[in-house]
Amino acid sequence: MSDASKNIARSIIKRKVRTYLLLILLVLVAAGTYSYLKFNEYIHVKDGIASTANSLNSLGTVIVEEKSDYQNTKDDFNNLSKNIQSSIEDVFPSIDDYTNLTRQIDLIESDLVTTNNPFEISSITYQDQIEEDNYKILPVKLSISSSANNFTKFLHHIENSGNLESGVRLMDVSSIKLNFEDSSRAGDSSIINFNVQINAYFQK
Amino acid sequence: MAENILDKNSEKPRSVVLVLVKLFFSFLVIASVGSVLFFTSQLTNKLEGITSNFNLANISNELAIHNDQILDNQTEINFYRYLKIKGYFDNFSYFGDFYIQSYEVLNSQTASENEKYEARMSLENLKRNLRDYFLKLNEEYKNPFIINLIVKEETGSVDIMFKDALVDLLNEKALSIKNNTDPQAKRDYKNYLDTRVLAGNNALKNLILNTDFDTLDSLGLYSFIKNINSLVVNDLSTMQEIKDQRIKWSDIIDEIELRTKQIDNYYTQDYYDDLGGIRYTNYEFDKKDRSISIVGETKRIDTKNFTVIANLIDELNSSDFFENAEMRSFNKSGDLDEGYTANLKLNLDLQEGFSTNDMALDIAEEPKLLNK
Repeated sequence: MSDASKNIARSIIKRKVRTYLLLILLVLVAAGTYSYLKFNEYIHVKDGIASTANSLNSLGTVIVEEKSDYQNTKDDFNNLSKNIQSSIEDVFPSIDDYTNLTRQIDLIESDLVTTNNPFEISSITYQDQIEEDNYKILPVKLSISSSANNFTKFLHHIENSGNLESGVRLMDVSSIKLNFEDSSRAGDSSIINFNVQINAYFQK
Repeated sequence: MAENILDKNSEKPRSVVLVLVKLFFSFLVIASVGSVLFFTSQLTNKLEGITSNFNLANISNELAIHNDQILDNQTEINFYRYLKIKGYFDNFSYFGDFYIQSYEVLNSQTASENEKYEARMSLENLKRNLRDYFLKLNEEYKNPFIINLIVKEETGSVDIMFKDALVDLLNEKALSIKNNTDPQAKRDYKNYLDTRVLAGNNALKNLILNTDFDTLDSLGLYSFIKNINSLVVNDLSTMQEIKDQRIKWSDIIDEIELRTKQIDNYYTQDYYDDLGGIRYTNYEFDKKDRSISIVGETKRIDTKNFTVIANLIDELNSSDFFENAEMRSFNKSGDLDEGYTANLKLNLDLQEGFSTNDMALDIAEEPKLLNK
């Protein structure tokens, strides 16, 4: 091989070396960047696994504690729930339960009426149910003749109805039309005739 | 391929440097491919088919499994915590119902002194019970309900993720006993459904956490209970909603009488026939329209019947209860010997937004209108 050929060969080798070095540099940059980013992600996930493993251990303990704590109070909650449901069934029943309501109205009358303090319900008329978003209404019209004193007491009965303790059906007064028999609101002895429309509520 | 191109026209003499460079390049290529394969197998599911055959771990999947387990475990914890919270709220609403009832009796214009005394006595006991359950609620709400999961990418709100998981669990539990006729199962079913409303109810949680119970006076506690009931959904809160819409007509009638007495000092004393004054013959009240109609008459020994009616209109309009009291047509009959009688027909409305429940006063304060 001549010197000229040797020179050409050396030149080619040098070119090859430079080309390989360039490729090495490119691969190093590309692979290095990729590996660096992925390695960070890998470490993040690894740390995450270690951290979540710790969390899982502690959560396991908390589950046992919370479950036990709930079981300890569940009986109390159940007893209260039974009481509430039982009380609610009287004051806010799941059906219109007009027969029981009729008995309650009769009971109000007998509670209020005395010889000197009249209170007489002469008619009760139930109307069609009305459905609202969260409950239903049973409208009922009453015609009543009463002393002024008992009139106020009757209003109190309705205004305070729906108390769980009392067991009186949840009601409110929708309208009242009243007139004073002896033309005066004055004095407890005067007789008031009134027509009252009451809304009795029940569950939807 | 690069080597093929480079080897074209190559000379037979070989350089050690070139060989080393080639070897290093080859090593780098292999290492790069290895790196890609390794990280792809660990951080993605693209090579799942291969890794599963060799039973190789995928840390990304392992993290996802851990996160799922954390979500499940925390949801189970939240399940028990919210069932407790529901129970405490039921207790709170239960005693709250009595408290509201007693408070309104105490502040009613027409309740008897005995009723007021009993109401005053029960309020203190009820407040103690309410405080106990409030503190338990406060304690429960201070617990963490979420855990910040370690994820490779953001996947949306963690709060919503845990809330949805809890609602799903409650639905699942409810569904499993939906058709069970056992009374306890029925209670549990309803309990699970009601508890769903509490899950993620931040307004309710913040109300409990931001309230200092011990600084609440009776009116503050009364309002607080109502506020709670407006945010909790159960039968008791529905009943409270109905009660809040009630109008205490007995207080309305009492207010009309008190205002009338400001104009006719002898009203309610049966002096009408002898001294004259005001007397009513009919009332009409309508809750839907919030309207009141009063019919009656005034009697005077002088001629100032119309002044009496005008004064009465102004007096009624000055009340916090009423507005728009008016009577546009006046007429009277009679003479100076027998006195004059004028008909009275007043129409008035309850003030916009007025509720007799708003008239609540402090327990220690005797309602002024009762001092008659």
